[in-house]
Amino acid sequence: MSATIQFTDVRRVFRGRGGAEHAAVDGVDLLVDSSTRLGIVGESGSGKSTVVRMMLGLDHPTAGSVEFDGVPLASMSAPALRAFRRQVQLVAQDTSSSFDPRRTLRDALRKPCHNLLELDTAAADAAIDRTLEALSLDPALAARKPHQVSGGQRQRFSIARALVVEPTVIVCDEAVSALDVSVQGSVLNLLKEHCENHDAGLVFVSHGLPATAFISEELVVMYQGRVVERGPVGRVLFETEHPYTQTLVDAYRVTEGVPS
Amino acid sequence: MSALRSPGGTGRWRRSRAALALAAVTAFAVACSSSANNPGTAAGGDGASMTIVTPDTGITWTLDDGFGGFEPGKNVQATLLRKPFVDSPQGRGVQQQDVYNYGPYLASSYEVSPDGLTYTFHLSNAISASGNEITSDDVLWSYERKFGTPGSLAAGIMAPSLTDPAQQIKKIDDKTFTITIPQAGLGTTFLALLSDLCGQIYDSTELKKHVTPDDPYAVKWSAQNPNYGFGPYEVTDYKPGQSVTMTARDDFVLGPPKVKTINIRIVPDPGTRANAVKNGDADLAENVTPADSATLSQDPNLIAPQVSNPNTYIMMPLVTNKAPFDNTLVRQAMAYATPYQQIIDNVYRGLAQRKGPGFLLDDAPGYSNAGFPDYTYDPAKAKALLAQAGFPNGVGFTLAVSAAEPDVREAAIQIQTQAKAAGFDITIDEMPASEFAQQRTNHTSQAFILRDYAITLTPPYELLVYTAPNGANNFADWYYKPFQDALAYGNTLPDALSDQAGQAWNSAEKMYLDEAPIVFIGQVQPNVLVSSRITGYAWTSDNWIDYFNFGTVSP
Amino acid sequence: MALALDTPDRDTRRRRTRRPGIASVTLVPAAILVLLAVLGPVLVPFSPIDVVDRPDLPPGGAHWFGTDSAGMDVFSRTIAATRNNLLIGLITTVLATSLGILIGLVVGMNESRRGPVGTLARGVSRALDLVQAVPAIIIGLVLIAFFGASIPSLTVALTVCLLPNQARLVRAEVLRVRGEAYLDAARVSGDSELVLIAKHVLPNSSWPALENASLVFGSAIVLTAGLGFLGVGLHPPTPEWGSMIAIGAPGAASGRWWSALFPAVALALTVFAVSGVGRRLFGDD
Repeated sequence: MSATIQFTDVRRVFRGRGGAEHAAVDGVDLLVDSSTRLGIVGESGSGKSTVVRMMLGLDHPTAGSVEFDGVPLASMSAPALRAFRRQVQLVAQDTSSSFDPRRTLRDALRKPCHNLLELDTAAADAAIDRTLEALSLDPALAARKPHQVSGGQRQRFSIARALVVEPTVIVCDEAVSALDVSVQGSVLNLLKEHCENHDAGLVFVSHGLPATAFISEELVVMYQGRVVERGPVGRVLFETEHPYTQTLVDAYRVTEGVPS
Repeated sequence: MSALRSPGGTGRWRRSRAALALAAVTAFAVACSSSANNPGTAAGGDGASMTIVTPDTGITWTLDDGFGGFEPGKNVQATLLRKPFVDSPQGRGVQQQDVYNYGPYLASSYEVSPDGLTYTFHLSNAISASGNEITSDDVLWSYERKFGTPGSLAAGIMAPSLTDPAQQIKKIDDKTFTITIPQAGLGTTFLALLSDLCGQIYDSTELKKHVTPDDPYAVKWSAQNPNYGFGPYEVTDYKPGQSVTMTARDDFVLGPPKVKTINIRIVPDPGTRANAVKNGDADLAENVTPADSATLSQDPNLIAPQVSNPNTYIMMPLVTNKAPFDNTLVRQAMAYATPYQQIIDNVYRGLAQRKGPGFLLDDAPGYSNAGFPDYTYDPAKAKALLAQAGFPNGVGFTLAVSAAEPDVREAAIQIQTQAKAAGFDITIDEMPASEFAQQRTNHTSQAFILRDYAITLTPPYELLVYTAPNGANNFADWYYKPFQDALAYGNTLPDALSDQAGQAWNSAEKMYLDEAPIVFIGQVQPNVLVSSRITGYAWTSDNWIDYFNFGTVSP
Repeated sequence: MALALDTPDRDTRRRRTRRPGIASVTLVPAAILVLLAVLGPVLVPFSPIDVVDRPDLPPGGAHWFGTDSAGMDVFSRTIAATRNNLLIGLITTVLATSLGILIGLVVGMNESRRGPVGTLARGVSRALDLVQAVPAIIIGLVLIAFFGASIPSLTVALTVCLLPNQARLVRAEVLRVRGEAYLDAARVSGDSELVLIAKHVLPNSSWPALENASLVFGSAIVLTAGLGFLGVGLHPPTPEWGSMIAIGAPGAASGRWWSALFPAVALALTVFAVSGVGRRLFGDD
């Protein structure tokens, strides 16, 4: 199935207090599809979160365009938008706030089934249970509210919510940053396996180079709203062009002990 | 709420030659205010002070600033003449004004010309708070200001005796001036007015220093700077809405005040005011509820003053310009459906009296109540009158009451309950004081109930105060030609306080009561509560207290 | 984080109130109130709008709660007032809270938008601040002066007075909720904006207004009293706790405590009963 998100010269400007304008994203070109696992790395404020929101149609560019299969997300009809969401799903960063505290986890997981797959409740629950089991989660936990499960479990539920519709592109926004390193590994493996098994693409956005490098094939480095470096992971790590990338890589070497 | 009444065309009277002669020869050598008043005030002494708690009356220093709380201003100012105080029958240091005598004050004496038209006044050597001695120029300038300031109440009140000060007031020398009135018969009311707020004379030397082209009489300046009077006190501290401190002036023309400092504190809640006196935190509370007065006056340390003839009436104007009170029979029925004694007992706890159905004070020389209707609570009679008026099944009306007067609201509730038996279905419409005043003047409600008084107490003034055709105070919007004719006839008589004039006032008042545009319910005693430490509380016809008369009893 | 910490607590409370025995107990005072409102006028020993005895009689045999300063029976008036006060209080609370939530929601969701909708929402937001800066009693005065004194106009006036605070509470909460990640998650899950507001924003941001509702009820009655004191309340002698308290309070300073105390107790019990119902309805969800 083809699913291509194309960023063309995207600029997103926010107006601050007193009308001062600030470009969070400036002149970004990106191509996302189901064939690759793309990592986007950058410090906070680099514009990567804005890129994620625009990639998901939650925000729209001030200039330039974000198109899904040739149709700008900003002008999509409701059915087309549902078809887009059926294919592009999000694993959100802060799991403590990515579920409505007043609703059960199962409620949250039923939403995409109802809205995007148009399943009835029984079919939705069957799909949910399948997905949860695939993620080694006890389906009984789904009856709980988000604060009644552990952070790791909640993160798997967050992944389950994305996977339950079997999307072709999964967008992970700081998906593992809040987790312990041991849990991080298992979640990353799980995502990687899913993409490989289901032919899905992945956009992995994080400020941490190690996890991003581990899971990605292609890497994009963002700095102050611009893409400063892009290429296969190996090239970016070992033939760094931009000084900012170099500082990231240096930090990575120190922590991981990778020889230069 | 008390109000100054502008009587319109009041008080045409003509005094007898005998009375005129008597007045003419009276040189007021005897000071009748200070020394004669307070036999029991020995201990006042130097440094005595007292505290008065009052609601926020909107303190206004003179009539020229419009209507407001005039009491502090009254004690900074002095008037040309003064109505003397005598002991009230209650005793305990309580006094009342002798409203038919006009004694010396800023004027040490006066003579009247044989035709009764020209009064020659001789000024005392009074010194103002600014240190200037009074002159005829002060008098002329004061009346020029009273009549020349837009919004001043004086011109309305003083008509028709004084309408054109520039023509009527003449300076003879620095200490002598004359005032000529258009009719000899206006004399009594004229003298009464000179003894009330309209008789205040200002220090023109001081005020002229603060005149500007925009403010030719320094009214704006004097609204903020009250010490330009010849009165017994000067204001030494004033925090609007909170407090006033008044300090005795030892160079006051009638001698040093006995109480050296008067602290006026504004306390909004009537119960708190009453308790302040009970607890000794204050010496006098103003505008106390009758229930508090009745309860607290059981305490031997507290006095609820009672006087022979308080001029404050609780009354119910029935608006004659619309149904149902356009029908005289319905008005009479209401006069029989009003539970007079119950209101006096339940609402005023005995601190009110009903001497009859009328409004004229019965102690005026020449007074007669012959032939008055016998309005008492008689629901059967009221019902019969209503049936006769075409309302055999009763009639409903709206009775407006001001929210600022709890006693009046309670009286309205007594009437509402008791008038049901007579067939009246009353809706009580309680409203803010300002709206009440507006409705009252515009006659918009069907009936009103209020507490009010005539500031100047002469029969012609009292008879006209609520009946002047098209007058702002004609609450009932009542016009009855025979009554106006009778009043006019009374005004042609030479002496307003003679027996002959009394007959004329009686026939006018009889029509007033038979036609019943206003149900006069009763005379209400002063609503103050005084510590027995204080002597010299005196009821005055303007119902603002004279601080100079106060003294203290030694403990 | 605060939310996560505070939720278990709210949960225990809910479990407690949902135990059937306890639950009915919290509803008993409210049930009694409703009964009094319906039957009150029949139950009272004296006419609540007539002078029935001497004024200021202390509580005793004939007059259980004494008589007021006009000579009306305080017990009869306190009971008879239940209907008026419940009507005023409940209608005001429901109107002020539901309108407050609606306005807070609309303003909160739109005030950072560009264009006329955003400008309007910001305008409404400033207007709410402005209305709240004006003492409620003055707003009430003006409105009653305009519409005349009756239970419906009083209710409208009180609603206008009490609505801004409810709207502001909700708006502040909406501004917080609007940034929550679960809204984006729900969008990605295919929820439309309307569903999003109805299912997530509304339930998560209206609780401050709902928890405040019993206070609104009490304020409505206290304001009724204030308006009555200024003379723009219901026509006297309509039995109504607020005006009874206002009229009786000065007497309480001089030892005649009963004519203000009993309606005050009735008011307090009613607010207590209403907050019991409120906790049961809105305490948690």
